[in-house]
Amino acid sequence: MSSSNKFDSAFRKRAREIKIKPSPGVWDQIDQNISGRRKRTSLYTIIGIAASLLLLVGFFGLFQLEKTQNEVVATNYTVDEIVDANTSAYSNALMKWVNTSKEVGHAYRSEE
Amino acid sequence: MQIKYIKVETARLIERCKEGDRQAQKLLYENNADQMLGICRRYMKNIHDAEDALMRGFVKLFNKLHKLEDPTKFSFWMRRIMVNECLMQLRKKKKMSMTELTDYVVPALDNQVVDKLSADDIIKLVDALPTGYRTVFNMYVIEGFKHKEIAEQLNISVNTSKSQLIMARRRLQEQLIALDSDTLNNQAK
Repeated sequence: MSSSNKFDSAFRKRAREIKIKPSPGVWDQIDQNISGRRKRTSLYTIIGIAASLLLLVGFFGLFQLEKTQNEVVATNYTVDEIVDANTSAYSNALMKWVNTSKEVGHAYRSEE
Repeated sequence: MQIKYIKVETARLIERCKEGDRQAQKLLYENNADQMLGICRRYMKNIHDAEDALMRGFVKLFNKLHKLEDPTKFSFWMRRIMVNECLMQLRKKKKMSMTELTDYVVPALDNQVVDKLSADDIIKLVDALPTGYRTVFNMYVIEGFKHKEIAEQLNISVNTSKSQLIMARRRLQEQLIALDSDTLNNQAK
């Protein structure tokens, strides 16, 4: 290896090791100069999040509506059932009273 | 294993930067800024101009990152962007006056002295070179450009590029001899 090559190699090695910490303002300037790209990306992100939230709210709303309708049906069914049951009980009691009255009437007539 | 992990991490970081992730962009900048400023400082005469080149270089880097297909070439690609930005700034300032030599005698240079130099010494040595010498020396010796490439980049002839390199080496030799004798004198005291 010639003296120039040895020198070049040694100099290259030392020079490539040089590191200098930039002042904090450099990143701020970079940040400002690429802000257009960031705004576009952020807008897409915001639209994405908003769409997801809307979908979520929509599904939740639909689920709630369906649940409420089921409860109303269930409640109506229960009331009908109660009314039916009460009506049956009343009819039975009435029939029992009529039958008892008939029996009592027969017994009274027999005694006569 | 460690190098492979770093490469995977860098590749992921590059992908996030391509998507416009600002945190990733800042991290990529923080991981490389000090080394890139070291490059810019070798080309530019003062830290203010070097930081300006660094800033412009990183803006270009982020705006062109989607064109980088192979992430393993990122480091080389980034260095080239910084060097190109420095050359553009130097061309704007029109500080490069280049003359051609008639004799092409290459001076004998002492590489053992170079091994003793600190980063500050290297910057001082390179700073002391005229802009034309410094630019060709940086491009040829440190970045590894060929004379033909330098000639195309700087819009000069191949012979002018060779001349600038020889003159840069002569100047550096003089400076190194002076620096070495100063160091020896200081050690003797």
